[in-house]
This record gives sequence, structure tokens and C-alpha cells, in this order.
Amino acid sequence: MSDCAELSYLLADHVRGRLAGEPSTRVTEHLEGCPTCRATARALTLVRQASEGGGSDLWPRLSARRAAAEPDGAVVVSFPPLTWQAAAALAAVVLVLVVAGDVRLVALALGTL
Amino acid sequence: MAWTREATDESLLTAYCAGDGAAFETLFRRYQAPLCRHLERMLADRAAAEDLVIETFYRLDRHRDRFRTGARVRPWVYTIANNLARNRRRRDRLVRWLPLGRTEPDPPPTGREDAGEIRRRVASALDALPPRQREACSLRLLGELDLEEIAQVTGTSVGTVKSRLFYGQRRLRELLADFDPGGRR
Repeated sequence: MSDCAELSYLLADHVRGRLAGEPSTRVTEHLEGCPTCRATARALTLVRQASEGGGSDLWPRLSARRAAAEPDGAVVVSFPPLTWQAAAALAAVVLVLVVAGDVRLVALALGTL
Repeated sequence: MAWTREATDESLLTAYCAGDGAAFETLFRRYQAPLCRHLERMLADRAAAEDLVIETFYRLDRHRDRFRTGARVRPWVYTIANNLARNRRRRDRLVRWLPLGRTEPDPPPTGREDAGEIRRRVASALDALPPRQREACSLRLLGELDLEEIAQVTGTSVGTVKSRLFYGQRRLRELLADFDPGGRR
């Protein structure tokens, strides 16, 4: 395997500053002599740069979400059991809608189930 | 109890399961930024990414009794998050297809002009990657997962992950080659 392919998996750690010791030395030395990998590392740095900052603290929202849940974590919304009569009625509705030609309406109906 | 940076994710979750609420907060704060960055890249929507970060940890909390000693927390967190993101994308595709009047993704947060331009160019480059390469690159670079963890989250082999990363990074290099934020091109 070429050095480029072998070291490419370390470039993400390199741009995050997480490499140390021998792997770090290998990557640094390789980058000095390889413009292609330097360009890759530069692209990965841009990706990191684009994702930095702007983050808000989400802990209060998670706390509120957990507080709003049932104490035992049970799901609040429940559906009645689907009997064969209900299934047949649903199938009939879908069939009518399909025959009527409004496929998007069928998708909407299915999407809300 | 105050938890140090050296505490492992697994020890934090174990402590939380034993009743230490502070351990869960420490675990969440450790993950919220990288997880949000990854989800934002997957969804191209900051607000939706934040919602899913919260939902991921809400589900982790609800199902914490499934955590087993010896298991790793990070792949579990990212598996939950990736499944939620996948469902969200399906729902968004349906909503876009249906005539319901919605919607473009929220614009990225604005900052300095350079920062905004970098965000736009990078988002555009990542969007141009095949989905599986984008997922692998995002998990590696923004989620900060190692190769084995990415393989676990995506249900593939390490070899496949390496391949996706290699080609994904190469494509990013090509797409961003002519972009020089300092050069104002």
C-alpha cells in the first residue's frame, strides 16, 4: 500500500491535532513531500473549520425533554389494536384513493400513520 | 460527584445507571458538540441536528438498562443518532415531495463573511459526496470516531470504511482545491 493510502486515515486525527509520537512524525514528514496529501489535509481542515463555533448548550433542552416524559419512560401515545376489520377498512380507503388517481394523497395518508 | 475529563464514557454511563445524575450530564456535554456537527452535515440543517442530539440522548437514557459491561458507548450513541437521521431524511423527502408548502433547510448561522463562505463551500462539497462516503467522512472528521467504531455504526467492515474514507477525502480535496478563503476568489 502506498504511503498516501496508508496515511490517509490519519489525516483526520492530524487536522484535529490528535496525533502524537511516531504516527504524528510520519504524517508530518509525509506531508512535507506530498502536495496531494497536503491538499487533502487542507480540505479536511476547511471541513473542520466550517463546523466550528455556533454551538449552543443543549443540556437545558434535554433536561426539559426528560422532565416532560412519563416517570417510567413509558410511551404516552398509544394506538388501539389493529383488528382485521380496521385493516380491511384501511385497505379499502387506500384502494379508493388509488382508483381516484391521487397517489400523493395516498402517500400523505400513509405518511401520517 | 464531579467527573474529570479522564473518566471513560463507559464509566460515566455505568455511574449514571447506578443513580449518579451528574455522570449523565458530563457524558452529554462530552458528546453534544461533535454529535451536533456530524448530524448537521448529515441533515444540512442545524436546528434539526440539535433536535436529534437531544432525542439521541433521551433514547439513550430511556434504554440505559440495555447497556452491558464491556460494550462501548460511542458506537451506540452514533448508531442511535444515525438511525434517527435516516428516519428524518426519509420524512423530509416525503414532505418535500408532497404539496405541503415546505421548505428549504434553515440557512447556516451567519458570522464573519469568510466563515459564511467556508460553510457554504464545505456544505456544498459534502453534499456532492455519495451518501455513504459523506457519512464515513463526517463520522471520522466531525464525530471523531475511529475506524472500528465507524464500521460498527454503519454495519460494515473496517476495509469498507477505509475505502469510503479514502475516496470521500479524495473527492473533498478535488471539490475544495480551488477554494481559497483568504484569497477572496
